[in-house]
Amino acid sequence: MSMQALAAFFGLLLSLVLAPLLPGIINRVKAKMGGRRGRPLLQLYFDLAKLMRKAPVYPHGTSVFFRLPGPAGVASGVMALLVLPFGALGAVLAFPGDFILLAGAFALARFCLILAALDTGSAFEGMGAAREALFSALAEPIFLFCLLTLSYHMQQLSLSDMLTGGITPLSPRIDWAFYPVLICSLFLLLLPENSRIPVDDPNTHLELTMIHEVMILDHSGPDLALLEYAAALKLWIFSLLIAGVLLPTGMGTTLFDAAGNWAGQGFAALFSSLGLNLLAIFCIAVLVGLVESLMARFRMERVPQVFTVAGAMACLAALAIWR
Amino acid sequence: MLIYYCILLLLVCGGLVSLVLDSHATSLRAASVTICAASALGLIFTVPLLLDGATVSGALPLPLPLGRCTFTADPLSAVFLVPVFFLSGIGGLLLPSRMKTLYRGAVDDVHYGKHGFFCCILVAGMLLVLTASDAVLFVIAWEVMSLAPFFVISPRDRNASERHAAWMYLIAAHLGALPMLYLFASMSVQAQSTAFFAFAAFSGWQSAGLLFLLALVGFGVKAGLVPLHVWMPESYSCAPAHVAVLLSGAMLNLGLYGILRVLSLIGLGELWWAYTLMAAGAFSGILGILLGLVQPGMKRTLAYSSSENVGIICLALGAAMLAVHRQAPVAAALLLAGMFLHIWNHATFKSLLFLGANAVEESTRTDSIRLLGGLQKRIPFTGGCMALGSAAIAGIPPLNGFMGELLIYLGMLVGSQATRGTESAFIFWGAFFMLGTIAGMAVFAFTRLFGLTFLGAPRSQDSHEAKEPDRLLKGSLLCLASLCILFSLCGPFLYKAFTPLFHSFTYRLAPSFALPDPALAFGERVLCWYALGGLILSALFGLALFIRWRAVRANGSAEGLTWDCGYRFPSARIQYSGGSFAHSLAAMLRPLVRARIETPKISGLFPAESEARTSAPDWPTLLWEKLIFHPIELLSDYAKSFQSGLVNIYILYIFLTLVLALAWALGWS
Repeated sequence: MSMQALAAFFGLLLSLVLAPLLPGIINRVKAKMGGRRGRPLLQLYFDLAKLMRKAPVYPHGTSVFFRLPGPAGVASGVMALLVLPFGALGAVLAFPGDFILLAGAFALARFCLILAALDTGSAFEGMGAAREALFSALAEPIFLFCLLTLSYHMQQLSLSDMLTGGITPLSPRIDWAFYPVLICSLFLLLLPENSRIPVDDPNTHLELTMIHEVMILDHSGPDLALLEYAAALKLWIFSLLIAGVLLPTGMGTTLFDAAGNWAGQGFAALFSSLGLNLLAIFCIAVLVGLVESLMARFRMERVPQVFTVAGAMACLAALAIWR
Repeated sequence: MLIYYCILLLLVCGGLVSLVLDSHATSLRAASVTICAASALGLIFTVPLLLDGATVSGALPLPLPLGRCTFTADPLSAVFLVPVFFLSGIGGLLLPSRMKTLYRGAVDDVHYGKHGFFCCILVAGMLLVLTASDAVLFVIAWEVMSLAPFFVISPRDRNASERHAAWMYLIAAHLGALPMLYLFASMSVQAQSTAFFAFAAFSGWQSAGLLFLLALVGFGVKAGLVPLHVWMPESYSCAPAHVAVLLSGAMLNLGLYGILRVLSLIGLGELWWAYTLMAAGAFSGILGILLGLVQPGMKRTLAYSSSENVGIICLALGAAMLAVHRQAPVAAALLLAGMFLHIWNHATFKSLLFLGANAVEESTRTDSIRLLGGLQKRIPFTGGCMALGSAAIAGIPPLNGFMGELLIYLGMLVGSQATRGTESAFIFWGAFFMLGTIAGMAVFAFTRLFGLTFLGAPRSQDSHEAKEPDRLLKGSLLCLASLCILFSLCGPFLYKAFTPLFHSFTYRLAPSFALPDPALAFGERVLCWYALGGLILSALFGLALFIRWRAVRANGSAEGLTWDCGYRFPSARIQYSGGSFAHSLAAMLRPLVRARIETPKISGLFPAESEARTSAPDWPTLLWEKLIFHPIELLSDYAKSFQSGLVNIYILYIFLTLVLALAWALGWS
């Protein structure tokens, strides 16, 4: 196995291990903003370990579809991480159109989750499922469009080349407009896609106001563990994507030489890239925590406005790079 | 070519035998054996044609109403013939059992013959349409094919709605044939011949734009482009399973074939043709899925989703034409490949879903989402197949629906990169966004369709009565479901098989446009990667399922109540219904959906019992009624006053007519 592939697998492993840290950071930020000490940073790790050892309780009358969303979520998260490069470490797989497969993998997870929610036959979970279906139907085209503009700008067709490719942008004059707007759009998509305030509230226990949490209300034990882990993975993937857009060019060029061996400053480049990416990801988590502390949840009928703004931002980004 | 004539002869003879045997049970068997044998022979005939990219033709000199009939099977025909034969085979196989189920309990008025005959004629008509290479023959074949479904849609004519569906079909089919007649007449006059090869050789088309629009409208009716789809929800929702497969899987594609054939005859045309196709496709896609997701019945939802998929196909075709205009070979190859793959994919999963929905309806006697629920526990096999079909049609990887969409997305992306900085890039972006929107709403529509009928708790006594269908139908479901998986793995092979078609079709569109091999190889590479990605995703899914299974096995599990805010006695009625699931989207896009909610006005201290209703009438139908049929009705009513019943008045009419005719003739000469 070549060094590149090894590095990419290391990046994948790092993502898989570090992902549950993000909800901890968000919670810590929220606690600090509220003047509390807050839960331990590693709380989700403890929760996952505990849940994996618990016996699940299944609602009466549920079928096999109730058991699918956890595994589907984790599988789609890992699939997405396979094509999403971790900074200079690169991605395990890179092929033309892999970002569309990434969106497709999320669609698989969502499909299974909505079906599982409907399988319980509960009114609340049906409501959550309908909302999730609606908001994801709005989010998906915008998310794909954001990646389309990035691909158009970098003149590349795979995520690895789009995010870490060494190609200098064609028209640096207007770059300053493109990246901030695109990042804003992606961040606005991160919030609803990961069931965060102002669209969804991961903490409330009022079923009427929830989307994601209400759909997993009846899951317990290992199923819930997998679902929680999948949610953390998804948050990590969105953050990693934004970090990749934020730190776009030239990162991969010094890591290896032409023969695939470590270049002169290999380790320096590795650590700087890793450090920068991790820093960016944690900053995004802090930002999410700040948003959650400073904003209230929107009324449901105002939620589409979030998508409208995200779509408008994506269109602005597209306009900035059209020529 | 001999085998081709054998198939035609076999279908006609078998149909006649079935007609003669009429009420006897062997009538059905005769029709079934005929259609199955014809489709087996047909597959033997067409699959090599497709693989070789060869063209065979033959001619029959017949007496005058037909004249010299020329038949040609080229790669474009072959790519449509294969699904037609395959699905006809399935339809033929299911014909006897479905008809017997339909006639269960009927003592007298058992008439199988008509149905068997017209099923055979429908298959023969489709075969003729796809191979006719002469305008007159094409129009006749089209009429034969269009008429046959009128007789097979409702074999028993049980109630007014079935008759209404059949009539609606007939009217739509005939109105659709009108622009087509004008199209071929105009082409024949201009090219001084009715033969397709003369059309292909002719180049100086006058008012070619009008010809294109006529083709789009005339064939769009058959393909079900919104707002010309009005017949589809009605007839698909009352047709029995085998007919639904023939109509939705096979006949629907013939509308697309017509558009493609006319384009291949008159060429690429102007830029606005591509824009028109894309606009029509996007409109049909979005409205089709939107109207579909507010429908109360499963089969109506499926029918609307056919409009959606035809919309996607037209969108891809328009984008491919734009790519050819802009000399972007990679994008053109990707878009054409995506389009043809989507045609095949749609034929498989739509047939699968129609079969499943009909299987449910046969045992529960309803296909209303409001009354079903919890079927997965009772009929897990049908449920599994339906889940797979729903996932495939919603564009979920690693199934085949996503495969075609992936190529189309990528084609639009590559097209926009190739036309960097021009307005075409904008158009490609717009098309990309539209496709994303359609795909997002498809997930909504099909989680609703499957989730509310097969999952949850049974909403009525009807859904308790669900039973697995007979072995034949199960086998068909399994076969189509495995094709949905197989296609996604065999993408590169299918692409290879279609490659001669890409060459010949783009050559016909624009002779100066060449598809170089590297451009073609790119699409194949993408499909290889997709197959690999799908395998990896499935493996990951399996691994995660294994981890879950091990943990649950180690910990044990228990059953409990569904959480409903501490309420201990939930009933099936509290579940989300089809209407409430779709409400959020329907309310947001009210101008496009136009769902009606009738809420009663409650007044007084002791109001009487009242109920609220939601309905989603097909507003394009209402629009056509208002624009065309209502004025005609008014005119006819007005004309009635001329019909007084008095002979002397009639003699006066005759006299006046004669005087007018005389005056006109004198003045004219």
